[in-house]
Amino acid sequence: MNKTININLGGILFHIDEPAYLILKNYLDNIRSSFKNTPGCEEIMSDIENRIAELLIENQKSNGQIISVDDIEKIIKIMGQPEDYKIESEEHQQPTQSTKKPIKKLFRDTINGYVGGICSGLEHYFKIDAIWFRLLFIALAIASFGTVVLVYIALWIFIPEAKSATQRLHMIGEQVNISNIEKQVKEKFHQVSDKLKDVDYKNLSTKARRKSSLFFEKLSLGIKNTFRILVQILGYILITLTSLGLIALTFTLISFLAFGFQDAQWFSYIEMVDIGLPFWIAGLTLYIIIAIPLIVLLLLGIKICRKQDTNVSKTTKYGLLLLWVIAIFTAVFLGLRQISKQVISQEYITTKNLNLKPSDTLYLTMKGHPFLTESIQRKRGLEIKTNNEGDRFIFSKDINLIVKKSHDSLPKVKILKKANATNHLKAIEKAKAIHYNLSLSEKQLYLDSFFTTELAEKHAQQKIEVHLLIPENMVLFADKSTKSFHLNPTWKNDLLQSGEEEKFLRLIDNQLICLNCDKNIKNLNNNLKDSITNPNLNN
Amino acid sequence: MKIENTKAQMRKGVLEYCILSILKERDSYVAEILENLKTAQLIVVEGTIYPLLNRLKNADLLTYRWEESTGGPPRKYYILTTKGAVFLEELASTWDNLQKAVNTITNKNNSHE
Repeated sequence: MNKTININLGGILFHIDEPAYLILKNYLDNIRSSFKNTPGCEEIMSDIENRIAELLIENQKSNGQIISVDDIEKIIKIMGQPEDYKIESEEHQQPTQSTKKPIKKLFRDTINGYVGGICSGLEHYFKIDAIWFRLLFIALAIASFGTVVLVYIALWIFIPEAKSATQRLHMIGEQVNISNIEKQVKEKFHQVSDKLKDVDYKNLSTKARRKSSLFFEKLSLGIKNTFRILVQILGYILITLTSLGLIALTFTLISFLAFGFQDAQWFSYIEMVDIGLPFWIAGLTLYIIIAIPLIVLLLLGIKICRKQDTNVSKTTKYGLLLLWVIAIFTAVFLGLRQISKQVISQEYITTKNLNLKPSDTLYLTMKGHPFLTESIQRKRGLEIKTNNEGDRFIFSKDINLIVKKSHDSLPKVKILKKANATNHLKAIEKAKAIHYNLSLSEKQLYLDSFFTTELAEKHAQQKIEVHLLIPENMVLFADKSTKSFHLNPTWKNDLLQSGEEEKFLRLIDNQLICLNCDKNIKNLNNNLKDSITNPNLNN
Repeated sequence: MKIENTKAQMRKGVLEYCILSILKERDSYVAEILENLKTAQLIVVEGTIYPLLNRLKNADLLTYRWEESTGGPPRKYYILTTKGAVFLEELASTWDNLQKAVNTITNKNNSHE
């Protein structure tokens, strides 16, 4: 089955086969180009066209008969090749014409190709057997864990397919002239019909027979068969995986849009993020970003298995590409916005004096919450928690404890609430909104090991630094609950070194000196009461 | 040097003379001229004649008129101009001389053999 084209030749309408049309058009174009510099070129051309029309009518058995490649071949035989049109005085120009270097372009050879015809195209371009490119691609694909497949897909998209005879000639780097075009057109049609008629093996063997080397004939036949099977398997795997992925993804999106994921742990992180857009837009963007490559892979799989082009129009293809690019941009935009929301860091500082004398011993403990947190352990990041009343709020155990020297004789606690936002005011607002408690009973200081803030405050990198300022000569006993909260880098100048928990430490000259270290630790417990009440005596 | 090229050049050389001779007999359109030339086996392919006719026409040796045809495109009937007729006479005498010359030489060679 071929498409027919209506043409007007010498003022007469003809129905002509598409391949025949192609040959005729190229024939006339070539004659025209050979007369380009001759005066009266247009007149000569119209004379020739008239004559061809006349011959076609003579040749036509009945009206409305379609002109075939054979008819055109007959005409060209009568009329002669473009070279025959030359008059001898112009003959000296001919050599320059025929030695004109043929143009060579990279095209995809879909007739000889297996997947997208890229390797066969490379074969024509570099004059290296396609099998090497195929092996290279497979090797690279395996070595790169499949990343190179994306490169292949990109090449598939960007390298045009050699569809017309002219393109095929450009691909194999032959002169574009009538005889070559004819050869190409015929070859293409033969090959296509061969493909339809013959079973795979015969087709493969004819293909392989064309190979010059006998050794490679056998080798490439085997490899090609294996390759074809591998590709086929790959195609089915692609189809299965991508369809499953798409179904799962779509269900996820639908349930997300319908119900949300209030229970899921990861969702609470998303919920805390202040996107500034409805969640469904973000969800949909994410869906598009993931789904479109899956669709492309699915189509690729179908294409591989069916060995033919899926009926996806160019508009759909470009539409999908455009949608994907838009989704990517949206995601990047949202990301940048998110970053811009965190650019300004501010802290809100409150100081509490502890009603203690410098001679007192200060016992320091980090306190958990009976309901919210059992473990007293520092943990970075925020999460969403629900209290007894069902209110949801942001909860964090990101607390830093630093022991410093007080500049007066009063022990105190400085609480630095930190938050990030787009500007100073907002950042301070967010910092202020952090709830944090501490309590002092007698000589025992209880610091909360967590803080909370309202869900509406969203994620703003909230954190707290607690500075415990103690005056010179005061004794500090930090129990082991504090251990994870004061693992500070040296530049923070934390006086309380790691590992110094559960010890009586006196601040002398910016240093905490251990008071009970020389003693036998086993005996310590027995003597503890004494040393606590009267540490000065031990010295 | 290919024999085909030489042959083609020789044919092309006398083509102009022959075309003008055909047109001297009667006005003809291109298919008729071609028929004559093909019968005489002077040309093999038709393409050669179009630039030739055009060149003769541009040199005012020929002119043409259009005539309708049944079931085909309109035909271009070529006519020999007076200038063409003079040109043809000159060519005819040149051809005669050439023919004689060629005959004398080839015959002499043949008799020597």
